[in-house]
Amino acid sequence: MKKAGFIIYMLVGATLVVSGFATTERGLKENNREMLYKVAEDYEELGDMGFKGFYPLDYKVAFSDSEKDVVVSYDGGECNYTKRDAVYGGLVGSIYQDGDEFEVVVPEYDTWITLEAVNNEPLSAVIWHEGFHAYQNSYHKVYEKTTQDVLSETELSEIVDSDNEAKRMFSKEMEVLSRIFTDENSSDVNEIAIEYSKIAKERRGLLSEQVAGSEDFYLMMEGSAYYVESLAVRYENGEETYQKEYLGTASKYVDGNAKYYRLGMLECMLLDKLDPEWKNSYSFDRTFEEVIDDYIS
Amino acid sequence: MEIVVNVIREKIRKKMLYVTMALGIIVVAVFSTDMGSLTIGGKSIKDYHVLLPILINVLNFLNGAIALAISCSTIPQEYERRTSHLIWSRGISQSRYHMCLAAGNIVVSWISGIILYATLGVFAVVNGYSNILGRIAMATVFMMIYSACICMLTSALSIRIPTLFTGTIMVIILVFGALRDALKLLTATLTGVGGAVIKRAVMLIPDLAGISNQAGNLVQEKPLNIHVIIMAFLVIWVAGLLVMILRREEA
Amino acid sequence: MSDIMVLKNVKKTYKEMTAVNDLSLNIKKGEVFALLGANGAGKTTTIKMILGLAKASSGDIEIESGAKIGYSPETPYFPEYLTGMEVMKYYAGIEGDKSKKDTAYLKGLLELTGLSDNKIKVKNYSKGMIQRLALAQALISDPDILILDEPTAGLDALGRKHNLELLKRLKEEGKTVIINSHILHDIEAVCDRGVIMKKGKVIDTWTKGESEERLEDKFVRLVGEE
Repeated sequence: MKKAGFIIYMLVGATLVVSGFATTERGLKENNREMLYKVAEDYEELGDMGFKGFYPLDYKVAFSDSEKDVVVSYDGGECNYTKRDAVYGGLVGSIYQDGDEFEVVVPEYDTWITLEAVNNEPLSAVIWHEGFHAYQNSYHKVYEKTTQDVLSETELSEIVDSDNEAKRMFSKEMEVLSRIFTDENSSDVNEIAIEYSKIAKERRGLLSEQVAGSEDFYLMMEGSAYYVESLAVRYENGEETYQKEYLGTASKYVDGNAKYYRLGMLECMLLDKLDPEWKNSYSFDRTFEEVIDDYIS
Repeated sequence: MEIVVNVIREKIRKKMLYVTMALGIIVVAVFSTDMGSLTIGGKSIKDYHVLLPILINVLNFLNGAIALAISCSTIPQEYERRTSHLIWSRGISQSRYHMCLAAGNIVVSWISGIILYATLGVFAVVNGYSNILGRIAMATVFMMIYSACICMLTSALSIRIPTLFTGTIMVIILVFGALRDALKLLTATLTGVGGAVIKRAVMLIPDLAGISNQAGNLVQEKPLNIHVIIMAFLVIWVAGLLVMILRREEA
Repeated sequence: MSDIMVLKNVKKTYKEMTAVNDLSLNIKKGEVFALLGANGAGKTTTIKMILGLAKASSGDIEIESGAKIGYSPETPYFPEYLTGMEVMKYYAGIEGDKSKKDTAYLKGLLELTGLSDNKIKVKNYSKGMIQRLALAQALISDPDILILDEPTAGLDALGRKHNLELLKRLKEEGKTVIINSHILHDIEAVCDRGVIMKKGKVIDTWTKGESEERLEDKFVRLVGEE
C-alpha cells in the first residue's frame, strides 16, 4: 500500500513535470504576440499619423529577455520569428541595425508589465516609439544624412543642465509651447509660434554650435517619436492618461534627456496647429524650429 | 487522519483564526470604503471590478503570511514537546507524521483564507456587487494553491532547520514570490555572468504573484496561464516530496 | 520464561559523547524489569532505542515478533485543549485498531488509572493526572510490553500506591513491564529484576530477594563510587 502510494505520488510528479515542460512558452510568447496584434489594431485607427510610409510593423520587432532575442516579422497577422543571442544586455527599448535593416528591440511583456503599472506606458506604445525610429532611419535615412558630430544624450544633458540661463530659457520655451493646449481659446497659434521662435533663437546664442546642433537632432528624432508614442497611448489608454502622462508633464524641465522628448513633441503639436499637413513635406532633414519659422515668416 | 484533525483543532482552539478575521475585515474595509484610497497611475481606483484583482493579491499575500506563521513552528513544536514520542512509538513513519502535520496546516490556512474571502464577499455585497460573488468563490481555489505552496515549503524546511531560519527563509520567499514581477524587471537590467546567475535564482522563487494574477484573470474573465498553475502544483509536489523524505535523527 | 526482548552490544554515540556503551540485556516475558541509574546513565537513551525514537549506532535490539509496545513518557505532553477522553480517542485513532476506539473501552482504561471521563481539559490537569493519562494511553493497544519512564514521578502517596497496584495487576495479566525510575522503593515493591547503569554501561544487576542488602544501599554503593 505504502509502495503504491509512493508510485502514485511519483507519477503525479512526472505528470506535472511533463505538463510544465509542455506548457512552457518557447519562442514567441503569447503576450508578446498580443502586443503586435495591438499595434496592428491601433494602426487601423491611427494610420501613419501623417508620416508618409510609416507603419511600425514594417520593421522586425525583437522581444528581448536580455539574454535571448525573439525577432518577429509581422505580416498581416502572421508572426514568423527567429531566435538569437540578445544584441543588447539589460532592459532596452531601442533600434538595432542588422545590415541594411533596422529592427525594433523591446523588453518582453512579462518584464515590462511591472514598469507599465508605474509609468502607464503600454509596451505597444514602446513599439510605436521605437518603430518610428526604425522608420526615421529606414525611410528617411536620418543617421546616414547626419553629418555633424552629435553629442550623446548624456554628454549633452550634462552641458545644458549645468547652464542655468540655458535651463531657464528652455523652461520658458516649454511653457510657451504648452499654451497651445492650456490656453487654446485665448491665444493665437501664430503668436505662440513667434514667441517660441524668438526665445529659441535667443537661447541658441548661448550654446556652442555642436550643443545646439545636438539639441536639434534629439528634438527631431526623439521629440517626434515621443509625439507618435503619445498618440498611441492616447488611443489605447484614453484621454485621461494622455493628459496626465504627456500633456501634464510637457512643460516641465527635467535634468537628463526627457526634456528633448517633451519639447520635440510640443513642436510637433505646434506644427499640427499651424498646418495639419506639415508632415507631408517633411523628411527629417530640417529642424522643427526651421519648419516653424517657415510658417511665421 | 487523527493527526491532521488534531492540528486543525489545536489551531482553531488557540483562536488563531480570530486574527485572520480581524485582518481580513480591516484590509477589505480600508480598500472598499472611503477610509482608504487606492491610486494607481494617478487614477483613484474605486470600481470593484478593478479593485478585486488587487484585493485578491493583498489577501493572498496576507493569507500566505498566516500560512507561514501557522506552519513555521508546527513540526518543531511536536519535537520540542515530545509529542512525537507517542507518535513514533506507535509505529507511525516520519513521512506520514510530517505529511499529516503539513496537511493539517494547509487545511487551517484554507479555513483562514476562506474567512478572508468571505469578508471580501460581504463587502462586495454591501457595495452592490453581489453579482461577482461567484467569481470570488472561484478565486478561492487560487488562494488554496497559494497557501498550500507556503505551508508545504515551510513544513519541509522546518523538519531540519531551526524555526527562526525557516521563518526568515520563508519570509524572503513569500515577499520575493509576491514581488516576482518587480524582481524580474530589476534583474532584466543586469548583465554578465552575475546577472545570469541572479536571473536564474529569481526563477527558482515560486511565482506567488503569478498565482494571484491567475485569480485576478479569472475574476476579470481573462484567459488563465495554465503554465503558472502547473508550476505552482509542482512547487507543492516538490515540497511535499521533501516533507516525506527529510527526516529527523531522533523523536 | 522466554525472552521477549534482547539487546545485544547496543551502542549509542552523539558526536563525541557515548550515551550507551555495549549494552546487552535479556528481558523475559511477563517480568517487571527495572532500568536503574543516576541522571545521564543512559536509561532514557536505551528506552528511546527500544521504542525506535533513536537509532542505535551499533548492536541489535530484538523484540518478539508481533509484540505490541505501550509507552508512558517521563514528561508527557498532551494537547491541552482536549479532555482526557479526547486524548485517548486521538491516540486510539492513530493506532488504527477500530476495536480500541470504543468509548466504553477507553473509559475503562481511564478509570483503571484513576481518571474519569469528564469534561475537564488537560490544561486543568494536575501533574499526577497527566501521569495517569500517560499510563492510560500506553494501555490503549493492550500492549505486550509496557515501557514506563518514571511512572510514579509527580504522584502523591495515594497516586503512587494506586499506580504500583496497577503495575502488579498488569504483571499478573502477563504483561512485560520495563520501568525507569528514581524511586527505588517503588522498584523494590514491583520489579523482579533490573540493571544498574552508569555512564552508558551496565555496572551490576539486581534481582528481587537475591540478597539482604536493600536496593537503595546497593545503588548508592555502586553509583556513588567514582
